[in-house]
Amino acid sequence: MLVLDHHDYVSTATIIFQRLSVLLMDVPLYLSIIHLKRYLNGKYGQVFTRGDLVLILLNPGLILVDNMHFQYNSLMLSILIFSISFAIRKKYLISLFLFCVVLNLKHIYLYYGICFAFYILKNYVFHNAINFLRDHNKNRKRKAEKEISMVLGNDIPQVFKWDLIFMRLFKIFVITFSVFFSSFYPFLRHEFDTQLSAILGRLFPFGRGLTHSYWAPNYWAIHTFVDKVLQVVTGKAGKTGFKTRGVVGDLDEHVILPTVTPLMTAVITLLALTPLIKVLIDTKSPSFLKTKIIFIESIAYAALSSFMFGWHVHEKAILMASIPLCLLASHSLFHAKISFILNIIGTFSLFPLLFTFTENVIKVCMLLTFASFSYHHMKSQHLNFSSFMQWYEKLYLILLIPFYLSIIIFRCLPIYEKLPFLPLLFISVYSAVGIGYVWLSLFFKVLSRFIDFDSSKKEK
Amino acid sequence: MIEKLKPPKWYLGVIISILVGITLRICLGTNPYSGESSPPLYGDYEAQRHWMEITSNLPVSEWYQNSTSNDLLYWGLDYPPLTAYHSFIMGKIFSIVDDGDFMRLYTSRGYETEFTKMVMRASVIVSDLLLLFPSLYLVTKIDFTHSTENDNFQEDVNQKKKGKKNEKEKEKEKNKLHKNKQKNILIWNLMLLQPSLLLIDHVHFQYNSIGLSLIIFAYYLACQDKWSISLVCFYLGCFYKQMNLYYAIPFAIYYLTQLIKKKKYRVLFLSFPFISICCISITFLPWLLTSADSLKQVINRIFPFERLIYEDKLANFWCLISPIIDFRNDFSIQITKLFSLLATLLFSAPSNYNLARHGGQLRFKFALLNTSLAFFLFSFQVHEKSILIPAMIATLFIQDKELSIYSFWFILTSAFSLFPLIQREHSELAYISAVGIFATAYWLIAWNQIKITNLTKKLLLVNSLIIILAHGLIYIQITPNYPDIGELIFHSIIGLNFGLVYIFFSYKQFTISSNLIKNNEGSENTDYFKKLK
Repeated sequence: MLVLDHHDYVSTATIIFQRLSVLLMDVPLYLSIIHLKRYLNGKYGQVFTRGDLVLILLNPGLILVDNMHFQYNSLMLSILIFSISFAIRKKYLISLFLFCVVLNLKHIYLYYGICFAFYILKNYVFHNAINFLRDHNKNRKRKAEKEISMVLGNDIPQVFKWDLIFMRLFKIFVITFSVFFSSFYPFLRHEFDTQLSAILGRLFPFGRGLTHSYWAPNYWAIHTFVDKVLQVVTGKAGKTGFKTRGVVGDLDEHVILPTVTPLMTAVITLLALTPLIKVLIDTKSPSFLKTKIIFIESIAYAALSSFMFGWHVHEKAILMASIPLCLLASHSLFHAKISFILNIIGTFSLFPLLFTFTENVIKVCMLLTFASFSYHHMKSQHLNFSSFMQWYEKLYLILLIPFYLSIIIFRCLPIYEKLPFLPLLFISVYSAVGIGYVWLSLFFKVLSRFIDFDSSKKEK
Repeated sequence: MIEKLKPPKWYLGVIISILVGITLRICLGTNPYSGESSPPLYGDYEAQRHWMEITSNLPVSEWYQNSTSNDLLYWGLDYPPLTAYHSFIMGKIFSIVDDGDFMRLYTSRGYETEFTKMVMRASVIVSDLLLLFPSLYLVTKIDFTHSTENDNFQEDVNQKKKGKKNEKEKEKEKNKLHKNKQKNILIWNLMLLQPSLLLIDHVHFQYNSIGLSLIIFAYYLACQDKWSISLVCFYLGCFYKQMNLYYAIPFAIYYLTQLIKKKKYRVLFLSFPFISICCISITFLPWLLTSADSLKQVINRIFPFERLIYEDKLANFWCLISPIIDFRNDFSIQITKLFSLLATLLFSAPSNYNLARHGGQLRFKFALLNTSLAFFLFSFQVHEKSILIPAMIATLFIQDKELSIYSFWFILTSAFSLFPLIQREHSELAYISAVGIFATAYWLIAWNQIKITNLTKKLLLVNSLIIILAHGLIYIQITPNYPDIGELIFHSIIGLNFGLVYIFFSYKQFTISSNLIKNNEGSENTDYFKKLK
């Protein structure tokens, strides 16, 4: 089974063993969610309900990718949720350790890096310093107001502990370094340079195209789609034609719209992530619960932004945004709506992964089941859920059904032989619109954490 | 804008339950069926397909006859005519759907493609949707209708006392009704996940759900005092699979006692004989018209008394004592028949006697379970799949607060007993997921609502752990001289459980009935009597 020459090795026992190994990974996922739930619910009432648990454990996207397509996302998500849970419990070092572990399991979790970095920096490393500064400011104000009547007892300034900050920074460094070192050491023992560049090349495939074989439904899908349409309309179709035919390794060249380089995507992604820094290090945190919610929200936002603007994104990466959002589904109406839409669209965008007839039936059934269940769950959590959803959001979700039906019909037509990738293109563009909408609303939500857009539209 | 704050509609729950049921069934259907690509005899899937081929191609008179075109040794039809008619219809449909060799005489043996597998699986799911889903839904409503009757009764009393009720109480009642409905839907969902039926119908491949759900319809209608339709359903169920005759004694006793008690002599002496004659003659009409011999051949095929007392290893009394007394090989068929008949009657007697003496819906349910379990344990020519018949009744006990956990125990054990069968087809994944999903769903849905003492909880946990560990015995060969010893030990553990279930439920039937005599007839809910005082 594990002999290197055995490509495409298939036997019943192997399949059963591997499937079972994935199936078992639901146990840590369950445990991690319970771990998070215990703390949140124990302190703040019903933040997290049993239905949310079902939303995550029976998430059709997760089932499609893990149990049918075969990956180990549940395991990594469980470590991530444990890490979030520990961060919220103020066990920052354990959280950091777990995050480094999951980062070494799958480097795509780098998406979350910014959130963890700033959260831990603010709450752990500079916690003391921030408190000191706040007190200092307060004291200074008070001094200005009541300059004459000085009450000495209240004005003892806290000590600014430089050594504490350095100590904590050192601890963080040790943990991060040791995890990375132990994971990379077996490879880097010999021929340091070539190995490192080989690994990095495998991990960060900037040589591959802007879009993955099936276009992930992100901004670049729309970008490329518009470019193709413009090419056809203006008749300037380049000699490349429809080059992103699903072959990994093709570089896209946009003809009308500007061609995108890795650097551009990186800059745009970082720009999209900048509001998070402000949100995460915001010193006047409103309430303790809200900081936790903001942390989870920012994690989802970071993943979604990287998904939207990243270079060579896989469509499976949508799970990294949709699963953390499920954690907040019972918290507020807004999050419920967002996670409802994102989960449905995300799963829909994963449909091309599975293509045999039986799998087609199963995935459609699963999505329908999940959609109706989550609607039921959201509606019992937030009674005005259905009226909170805008008409265009409902229309968009309902139109999925005729859209998918027409794609099925298209596959039966003779023209399908000539344009086999057209349905995939339409699926990713259609989902990209929905995911883009979700990203935009989350973006404004994040901005509204520190900018007051409209006082009447404030969240209750 | 002021929005109306309403909880989600109840039918959303129904839709979700149906979708969950269908999705799970499709997923289980991707696993290999019995005898997949294993010539020359294949398995039950091929049997079903072969019957469709025979019935859709040959004239009715030849269905049960051995002839050149119908080799009875190759999966000859051995179920009653309703199965044959069902196969006939399916065969006609499939010969339209698949224009290849799927339904062609002779050449189609062992014909397996991805598409035909899908179609066959889909036909089972459709039959589930049409019969099993609605029948179980009706059953969950039985207790519900009782409670609303009670509520109405209470309402009358209140109205007499206070005059009109105020709005708040109405709202409260509405909420209560809504909650009740949701609870029922959840219980229904749980019943639909019953693992042994899922494994046999959707993994192993058979159409058991049709016969069983007809019996459930009969049970429901009998509980609603709709005697004639109930009898028709019962006949249909028995004419679909003769194994459903396990239920015959309690049904007969219940009909008799209730009809006499309620003084419906016209139904008993006019409608019942008429319906019986009609049902029997219509089902057997093609053979009645030809000759007596052909009818005899049909009966012979349906009740194969020339066969052995059991075939494969199973958790049955005769099989388990085979190391001590081998009834299968050491005794003549006549003697084993006599023994099995006596033992079956002996062990089904107590609970039926109780039913005849006291009557009542709950005791009827008990008698159904106990009798069918006694038949499984002691009767002649039992398959391991026959455990579905008592397990189906146990499923109906899930909504009972006190007995829920015991029915859960029995359902799990019955699913465990199917493991050797499933293991032969390499569908272990389906087995694990079906059992796991049912257990998880039970834990999520019913665990908070049941009454259970700590001791029973621990005992059941230890018991199921033992059985789970015993699964290893199927794989391990302990001694080369006795290759089947592991399987026998496995089955004896399961058989012991079945025996305990039988004893426990018999005990419960007797003790509960004395309680019921104290209260009023048939009502389990005594709360409103207390309130009246």
